Amino acid sequence: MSDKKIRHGHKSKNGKSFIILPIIFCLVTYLVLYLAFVPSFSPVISAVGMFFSDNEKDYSTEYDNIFVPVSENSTVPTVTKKDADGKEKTYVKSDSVQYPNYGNLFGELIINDCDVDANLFFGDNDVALRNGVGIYAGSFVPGYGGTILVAGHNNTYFNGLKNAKLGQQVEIKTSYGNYVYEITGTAIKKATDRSAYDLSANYENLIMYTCYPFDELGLTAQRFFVYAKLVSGTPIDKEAD
Amino acid sequence: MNSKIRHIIYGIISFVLSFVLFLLSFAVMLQSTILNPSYIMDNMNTSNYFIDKRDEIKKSLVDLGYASGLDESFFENVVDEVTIHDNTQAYLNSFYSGEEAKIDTTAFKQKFNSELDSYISKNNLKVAGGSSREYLINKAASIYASALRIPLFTTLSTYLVAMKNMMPLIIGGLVVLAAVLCIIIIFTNRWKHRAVRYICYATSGAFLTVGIIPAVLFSTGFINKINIDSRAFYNLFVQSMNSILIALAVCSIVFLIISVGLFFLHKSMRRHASED
Repeated sequence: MSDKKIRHGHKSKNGKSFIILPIIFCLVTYLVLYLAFVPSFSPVISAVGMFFSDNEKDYSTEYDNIFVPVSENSTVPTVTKKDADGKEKTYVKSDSVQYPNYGNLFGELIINDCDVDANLFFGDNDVALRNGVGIYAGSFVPGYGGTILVAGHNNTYFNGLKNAKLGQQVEIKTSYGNYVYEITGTAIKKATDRSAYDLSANYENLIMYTCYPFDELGLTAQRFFVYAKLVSGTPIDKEAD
Repeated sequence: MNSKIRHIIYGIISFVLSFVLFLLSFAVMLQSTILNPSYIMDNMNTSNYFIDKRDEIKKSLVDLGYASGLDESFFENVVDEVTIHDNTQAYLNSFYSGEEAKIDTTAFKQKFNSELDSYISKNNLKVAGGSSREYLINKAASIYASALRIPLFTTLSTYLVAMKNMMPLIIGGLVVLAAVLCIIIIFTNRWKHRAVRYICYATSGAFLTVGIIPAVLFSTGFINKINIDSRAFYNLFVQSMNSILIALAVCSIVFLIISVGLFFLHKSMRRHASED
């Protein structure tokens, strides 16, 4: 029996080959495929990585809400610094500010005289304008000392802008402070007119705009702009950023 | 021939057979899934694609309505699953036949136009001047068409058509090659149980190589982590990929059953050979 086993070549195998060889075949197959496609493998893996995230996408919410209103009694962490004129000025501590990501709901915009009360988003995509008004992502958040360019639909949240008048107050509430602006003017301009706003301004100003004319059917080529200046609100300590 | 050299040679032939079986599994899987024109439509039906897509299009059109003065209720009847189904089917058919694929928006535009007429007269609305109405309809049609376009399909269509034409030849070639390798193994071995053993190695190797892909992807849930904004496309992608992985798992199980069968056949033949 032993001679026959040697003759048939089974003596030392004991069935191990039935496990080891398939595993080797499997590994060599993937090695061959890897070597064959190695020039194009890295970009493919990088490209695939861009399409996948660590967790499953959550379709139950359209946007992330990071807005926690600052109540009257609560205090926001601040720091006092001397400005260029040597005067002491209070700033919101930069590390206490949760800056919004694109698409985040991070505040509320209220114009009582115009019956406007809308969620404020960072970014002016469809989701933002469906649920409130949105800050153009190339402009600044309130308190940062630049131009805040806010868009909204003229048939929904910014329909009330048709009643905007000089001197009316606009309030923006965020998680790091409340800011009050005063309307300084309105204008009707072409949608393509870039002179309607200055995104490089080095002072805080609020510009709200919507389609014009109001209450008409169809997509329009004109925009209604409302300009406002900062009246009160603690600026963010930008230097700490 | 030296026993060791013979074992190495047949080991290499077994590996080549295993590799060919692996490629054959992939070719058959591709042929029965993404190269099959009805595959995507079947997955669309299973994953409620048309209902999800209708809701997404409606949502986008409502956004357009907010910008143009149309009430949300206007869009209730503008889009329906049947039109979406028909337009998608025509779009996919043109892809698989190698033609330029376009979403036909004629039916959608007609429906939108007639709904708009009744909406304007019912609400006694003033329409903005110029070509505003025309622009609105075209904009809505463009939203509709872009929502139905399947991402990357235009890029992949050239390869899909080429592969679709070549695949029967590839499958035929691989089947012939696998058969030739089996014949070589069987007819060059004096002891047939050895031939069975080498074929068993190959099928076991193919079982592992094919099976490891669905095993890893299913166990990690990697497919479900794809980032697609559209829920309809997400469900379609996950459903399609799961079908592909199940097809691979089935191939793998077939190889496992063959391997187990060959293992016992080998045992039995060896016992007979030993008794002889």
